[in-house]
Amino acid sequence: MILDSFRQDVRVGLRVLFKEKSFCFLAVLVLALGIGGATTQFTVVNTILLRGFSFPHPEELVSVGLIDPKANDQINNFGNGQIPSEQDFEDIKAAQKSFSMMCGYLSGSTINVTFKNNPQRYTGSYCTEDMFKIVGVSPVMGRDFTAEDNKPGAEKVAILGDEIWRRDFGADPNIVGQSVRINGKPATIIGVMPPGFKFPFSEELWTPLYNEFPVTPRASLFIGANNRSPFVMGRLKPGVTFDQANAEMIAIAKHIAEDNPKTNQNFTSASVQPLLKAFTFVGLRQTVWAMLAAVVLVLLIACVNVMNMQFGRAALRAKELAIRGALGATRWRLIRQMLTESLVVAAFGAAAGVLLAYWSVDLLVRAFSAGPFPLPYWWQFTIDGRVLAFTLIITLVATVASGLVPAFLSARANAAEIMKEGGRGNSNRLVNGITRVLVIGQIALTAALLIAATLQIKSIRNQTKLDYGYDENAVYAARMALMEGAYPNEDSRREFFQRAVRSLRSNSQFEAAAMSDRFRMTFAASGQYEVDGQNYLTDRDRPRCNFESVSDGYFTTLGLKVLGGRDFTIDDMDTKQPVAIVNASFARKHWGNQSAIGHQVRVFNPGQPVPWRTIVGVVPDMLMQGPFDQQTETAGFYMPLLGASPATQFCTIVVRPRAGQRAETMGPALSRAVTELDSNLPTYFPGTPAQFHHEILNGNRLIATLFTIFGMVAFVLSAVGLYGVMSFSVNQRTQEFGIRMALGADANRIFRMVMTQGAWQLGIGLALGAGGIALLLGVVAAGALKTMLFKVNALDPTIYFAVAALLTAVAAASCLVPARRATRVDPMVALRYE
Amino acid sequence: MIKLKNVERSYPLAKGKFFFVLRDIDIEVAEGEFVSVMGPSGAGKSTLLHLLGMHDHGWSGEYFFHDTAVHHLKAKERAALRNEHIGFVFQQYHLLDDLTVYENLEIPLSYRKVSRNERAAIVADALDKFQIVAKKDLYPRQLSGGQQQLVGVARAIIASPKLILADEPTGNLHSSQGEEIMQLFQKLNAEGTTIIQVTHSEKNAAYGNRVIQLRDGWVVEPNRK
Repeated sequence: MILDSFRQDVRVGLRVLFKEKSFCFLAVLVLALGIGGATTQFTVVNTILLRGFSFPHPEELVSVGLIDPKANDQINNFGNGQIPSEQDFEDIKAAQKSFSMMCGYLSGSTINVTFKNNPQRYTGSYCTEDMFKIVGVSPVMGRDFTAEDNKPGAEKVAILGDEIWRRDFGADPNIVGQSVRINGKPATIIGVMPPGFKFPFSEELWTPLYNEFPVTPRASLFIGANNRSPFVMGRLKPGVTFDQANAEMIAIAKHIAEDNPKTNQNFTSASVQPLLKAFTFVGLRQTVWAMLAAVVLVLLIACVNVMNMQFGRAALRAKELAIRGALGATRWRLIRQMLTESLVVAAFGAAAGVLLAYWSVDLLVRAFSAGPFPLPYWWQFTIDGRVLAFTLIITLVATVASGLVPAFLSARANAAEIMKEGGRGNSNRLVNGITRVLVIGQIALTAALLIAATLQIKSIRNQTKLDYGYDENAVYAARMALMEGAYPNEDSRREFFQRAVRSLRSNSQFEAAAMSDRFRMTFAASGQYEVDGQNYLTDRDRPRCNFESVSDGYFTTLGLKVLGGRDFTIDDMDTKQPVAIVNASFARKHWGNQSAIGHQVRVFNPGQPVPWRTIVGVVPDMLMQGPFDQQTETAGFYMPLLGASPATQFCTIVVRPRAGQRAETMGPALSRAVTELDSNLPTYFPGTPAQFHHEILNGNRLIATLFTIFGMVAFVLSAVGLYGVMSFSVNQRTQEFGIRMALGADANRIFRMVMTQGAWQLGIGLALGAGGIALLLGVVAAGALKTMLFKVNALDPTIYFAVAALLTAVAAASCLVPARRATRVDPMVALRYE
Repeated sequence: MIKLKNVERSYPLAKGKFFFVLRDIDIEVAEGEFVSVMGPSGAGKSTLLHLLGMHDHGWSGEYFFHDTAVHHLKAKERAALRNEHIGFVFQQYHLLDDLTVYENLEIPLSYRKVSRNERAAIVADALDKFQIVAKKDLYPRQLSGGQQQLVGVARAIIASPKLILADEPTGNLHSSQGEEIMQLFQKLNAEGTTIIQVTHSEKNAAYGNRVIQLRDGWVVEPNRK
């Protein structure tokens, strides 16, 4: 019975909507935009935050880290904690009872592989033996790692990812057992992982951790890319809760801190987090949720628009509904009829929205993939059952949001009154009131969205306009890694660096060449340091800054001049006299107008203090971190790379081309020059720093673009909504305007009346929207914004005023046409109008 | 007070033809008269009333209001003249739904730039005069038809017009309420206000001095007593 009448309602609804083509088209279009946007963004949320891993019992997978309760979020890795050394991991693993398995690993690491005399650099992972067992994935060919493989000195082994096995190893079915060189040492391929597996993020090759980096004493100092602090993951034993595991880890952390006060005194707590959460950067999580909130706002605005249109239709159909009522339709029956029509519209909107979502998800994936860093392999942006369920829910919400109030109000109207008065009556006054409130809401939401979009745009603008302190287009850089197989000790690495610098400088292609350990000329190391003459009562009193190891001639290569003292020389050896160069900010911070030369500085190493470095020079400030570090502190210092002890394994070569040549064309020449030095040494991450800085901001640019699109869609919908409501209101008030004119109102007064009504709606909407977003951004989400916005004041009044001005202009334009139409009301006609 | 000479009102039809609503109207109304315009439906009564009220601009001929040649005035000047001298009463009352009785009475004054204090005094006086003080905060929907028309008449005279134009003022009222309104008109007329009403009712017409009879746009009887 109910199904029958529902079918009838749908049939009538389709007929009515088919008759009202313009309403139908507009409503479907508006809802398609809203539902499509929300579906697209939910696909992103689902992919990044909800779907997670496809491993067995993913809820048992956790990350483990030690926490310094008094340190800030950044130091504590945003709640995930850190494992300061491999020894800490070993101690935790030995003491714990909550996990069935634990694994230490380094991810995104460089692994150099030479196969059939062809050297290649891969992004891989150094891991202890249980990583694959923990996630429950086994090699499809060959075998998994064993504890024996992980031991230092054992025969080196590696497991390949399916993609590189096919691409670089010719999909050889007999690859297991074949010999290769890994980081310069003989090794054997022992397995191939299943297709699509690139764990933890996008790694394509795996080799045992301790076999490559044996466990060192806690106090060892490893700076920047040489850092060996492993990440730790584990699988909880069945039945063990997060809280239980957390409590146990805290107890173990306290125990380790007591036993090792020099290195671990601050790490008195611990954190056990779901692995998926630990893998997703907090800023990304916040951004993804913020964007979902933004599209839901757009959907709400779309619903408000459709609701306004429904009110317009309801006014026109008042008599029809009154007749239906007079013929015996109950109020609920009328509501159901109108809601069914809304459902039909929303269903069409949802269908179009899902199509739109398929297209925009594809577009998003392409845009994401254009970034310099590969996406985690478990991010599969697909519209799955959960996404479609979400779409179904928002479609029903849209139906109710856009249809219920108009249906309810239409159905409660007094039939006799409507038939007598032609639709004028209390209901219309209520409808007028509601539509005005809706427009206020729409303006408020749009103001909030536009402000958020403008903040994002300003943030990305700040990032792209950063002054790195040198011309990023004038030099070319590439990275290389000297692994222990080919370069087994510090002397061999130091010798190579010196030979390389000499060779590159004699190359006719290059005007200057130097080396640095700064990752892709963008991310230098950072940490705590000490300067002479200062008393630090606790470890936490030591300040933080950036530091970089560079060769002599580095500043000249970048086009900078030494401001005071001298540059490094090839003879600056840590074994003879450790030296440092500080930047101008550093010198000013510690010694004001006095000379920094002769003072001493050193990186703080809690377990085992390192020798003091004597400052020999002062150089101009450079931005030593990329476009994500918000710290205003520009202080930093430099150490000699060629004479450093310990000598780094990873370095970035920087060359400046001869006059008349463009830096971005230096790739082949640099590659050739390095191959001549060592034919087994691949270079990677080639390009000018400017290119990398551009690429690295692709994601942020995309986010800013999306926010702009959301803002613009909301903006257009609001403008249309305001126009629609004003137009509807003017139509409803035709007779009123006629009476007023008959009573003496002139055209200007009528014009002012309509415009004033619009202005009130605009004013209240702006106040609510701007006030709401200011409250949200300035108070509620102020902390989150620090990771989402780059050097932008969330309460910047110029942004708020600019958005207000823009909305005022569009509101004025939207009200202008209805207002002018109101002035042209002919009282004679209006007074006869019903 | 009013003199119409050869006034015609027409609407264009297809093929360059016109439909005439008023034809060759020559009438005069002296100050202090109470005139009723009568005729069957479609005779042009309401059109004549709106023309006299200067709402309608698409007519030809000559219209003198006192000595002012209305046919030579621009729209703005006509509006000013209307605001100064003419008040309207409508069959459907046409009170503004969202305004209280007090606010409805205040509206014509606010359009004539009367100061706030003066407006309050005038409205209070009118409420008192029409004995609707108790209703001042009610909305039109809370009043009976007769009460609404009473407010309509009060609103029409609130700006002290010399001429009241009433379009079937008792059309929606039952007889006793209609009589009350007509007596009110008679009283206002006795106090010096010129009244022109459109009516179907001979009884109502009897309250006036004379009747102008229209048929098919023509004045068939300009001076029926």
